[in-house]
Amino acid sequence: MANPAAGARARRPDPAEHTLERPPKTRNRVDAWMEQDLKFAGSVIKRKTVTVFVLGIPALAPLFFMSRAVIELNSSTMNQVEADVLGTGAMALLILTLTVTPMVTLTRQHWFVPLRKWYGIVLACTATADAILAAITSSFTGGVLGRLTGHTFLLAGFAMVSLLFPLLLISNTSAQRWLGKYWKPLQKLTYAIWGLLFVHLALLEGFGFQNGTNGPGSGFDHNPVLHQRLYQLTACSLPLLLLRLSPVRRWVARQQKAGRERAVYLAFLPLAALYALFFAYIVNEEIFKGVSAFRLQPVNG
Amino acid sequence: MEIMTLSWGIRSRAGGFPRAVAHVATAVLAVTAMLAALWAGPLAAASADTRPRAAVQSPAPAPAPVKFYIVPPPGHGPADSLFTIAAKTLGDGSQFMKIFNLNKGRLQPNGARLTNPRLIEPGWILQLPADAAGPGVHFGPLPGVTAPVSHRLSGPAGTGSAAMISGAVLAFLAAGLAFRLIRRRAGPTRRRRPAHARAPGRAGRAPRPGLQHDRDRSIAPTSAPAPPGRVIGSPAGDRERATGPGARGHQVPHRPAGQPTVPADPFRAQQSVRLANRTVPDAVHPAAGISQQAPTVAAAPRQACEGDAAQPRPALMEMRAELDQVAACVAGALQSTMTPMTTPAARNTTHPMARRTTKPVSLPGIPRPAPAEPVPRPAKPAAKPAGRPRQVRAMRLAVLAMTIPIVFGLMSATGELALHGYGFFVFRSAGTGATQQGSSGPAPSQPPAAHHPRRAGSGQADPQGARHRQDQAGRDP
Repeated sequence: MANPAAGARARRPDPAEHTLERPPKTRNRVDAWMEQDLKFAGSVIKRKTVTVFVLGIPALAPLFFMSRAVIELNSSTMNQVEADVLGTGAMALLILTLTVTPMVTLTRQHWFVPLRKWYGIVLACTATADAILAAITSSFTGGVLGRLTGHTFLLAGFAMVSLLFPLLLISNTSAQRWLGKYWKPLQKLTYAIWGLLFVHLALLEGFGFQNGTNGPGSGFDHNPVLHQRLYQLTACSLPLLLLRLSPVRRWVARQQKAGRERAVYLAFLPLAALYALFFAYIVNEEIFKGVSAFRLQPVNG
Repeated sequence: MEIMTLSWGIRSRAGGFPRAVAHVATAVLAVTAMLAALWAGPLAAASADTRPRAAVQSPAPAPAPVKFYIVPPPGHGPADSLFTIAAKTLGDGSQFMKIFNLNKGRLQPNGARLTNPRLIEPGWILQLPADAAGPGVHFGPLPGVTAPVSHRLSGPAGTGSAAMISGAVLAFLAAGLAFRLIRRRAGPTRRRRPAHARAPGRAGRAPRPGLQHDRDRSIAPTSAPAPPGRVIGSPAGDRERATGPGARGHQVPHRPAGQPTVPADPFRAQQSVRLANRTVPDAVHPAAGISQQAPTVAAAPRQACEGDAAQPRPALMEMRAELDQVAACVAGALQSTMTPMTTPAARNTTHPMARRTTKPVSLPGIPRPAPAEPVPRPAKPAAKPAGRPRQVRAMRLAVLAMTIPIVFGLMSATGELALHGYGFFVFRSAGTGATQQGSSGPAPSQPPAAHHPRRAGSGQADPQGARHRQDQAGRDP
């Protein structure tokens, strides 16, 4: 699954941009800095390549956390925390994938755009692994089909994986040539997956401030909202959705053209803080559960 | 090298020399060089043959007896090959390379040498390995083979051959040099077009830095001193040529200021500049004459062509008017199918198609009625450009690949709903909407433990059937 949020920086004609005379594409200073060569041990490599590689490594963390349990066929660990580790990891990856385009809108930098494809690919792999492990090891009744589609939230998750896996298969250049102009609309099905994730979490956890899966009775911070995945996803999605709206994008472009980039940053600072706060809880949950799964000492809840 | 130097001398003085003298001198030099080269080989061979005869004719030690095989002439059966010989004499045809390596390059009685393991000829004497045995294997000193007698001066073969080869190479070089020199004098028609006038055939290859033109001998390197008079390579010279009588209608790209230059050979640069100064004035005058004559020469064919074109013009105009009328009729017919007609009579009188049935539309020479009012065509809906069929098929395949699992999941979910009931299907493992215990789903044996310590006295019901909660006691060690 690549280029999931490609619609934002798009070829779609934006009528206001014509009237506003889109600012000339000047190369961002950061982009220029990233294009410079980095000499390392006699070899020359671009800074952008190194940075993108380093930023792409954490995407493999969910699969890494579950690798030991899978290799050792530790069904207990897989049964207990596979959904917590792989599911939370897939949610974090989807949020990261959807974050790239708004970041381009805000910063006008493009050096991190390749991360969108990478995060999307790892997201599809993680979600598929989650579905497979859930079908094999989870303790739901109804056999494999029951574990995949026996409940409403499972059906929503299965629909997500059913969309993600074909998108993974067509996330290469050959498929791009093969599909032509239909490639991009198909990749925009990522937004459908985004919506299905809301449905999945709503059906799994419901609304309200009690008994969240991640924080029943709240945690050390006595705040169950921060531990509830549905609210985590909602809080992280809010700025991403907002920065995809055409009026907002036009306003951002207008401010940037006028040289008021600080105003843009200040305007989006509260939303960015909200995003960072909830995303930190997601990452914290992922690391906590993942490390315990890797140690084969899974922690429930 | 001497010939080259002399040629360069002639070329350098060509400005003052008559051109014919330069041609003759170059040709004489070339012929002399060829003759000298042809004679150099034998003379070198003869001079090299001054070694004592005794050393040449000293008796060689008797060759050691070896096993050998004489290739027989082809008979009724299949011809011999190294493989069959190896099979006959060594017992294994795959060892033919042993025989080949023993005889590779050795002179054979017919003057040839064994170079290709697939090709041997009758009468050849092939040395065999010591373990060879069988029919046709001879043992004894390898029969001597003498080279074919040459009609040239006798001498050591190696020295003579080297001298001949060197002579031939010299002759070839001299001939090539002479040909090149003469070709350069041949005039502008054979001369390669300068880089700026050539089409960018090789994907816009950039000219060499420091040179105004590429590969053209009329180039003046930018680092060369500018001689007096008109200089082609200088920007002033380029502008003059571009705007003068011999201009080709294009501007010579100038080197931008500050571009680094490549140091050039000043000698060649001066030669190039002189050559350019000599050739360009000769070319300007004929070009001016041609440009003056061109309008007058082209006027007659132009008038003839215009006359030829004027003849069918009225007929074409008539045809165009006919086509316009037919198009209007067709458009009206199309519109009539969309708009309800009032009466048949009105249709007969107003529709252009009906007029056509009663009166021929137009004939040559007959005055036609005024063309009907063009019926506005119905606005076509903006059709989306259809994609390529291959891409459409691919898109359908991808959509199918996404749809099939979803349909399968829906069918499976329907089956689960029918089997276990609605309570099972809407089972919620956690959260505010957690279903009651016993409704559905896996019921953990013990109340699940939380990641975070439960708040005391929260009064919240434990989620039942938690999917991912197990007792802490269920941990692996």
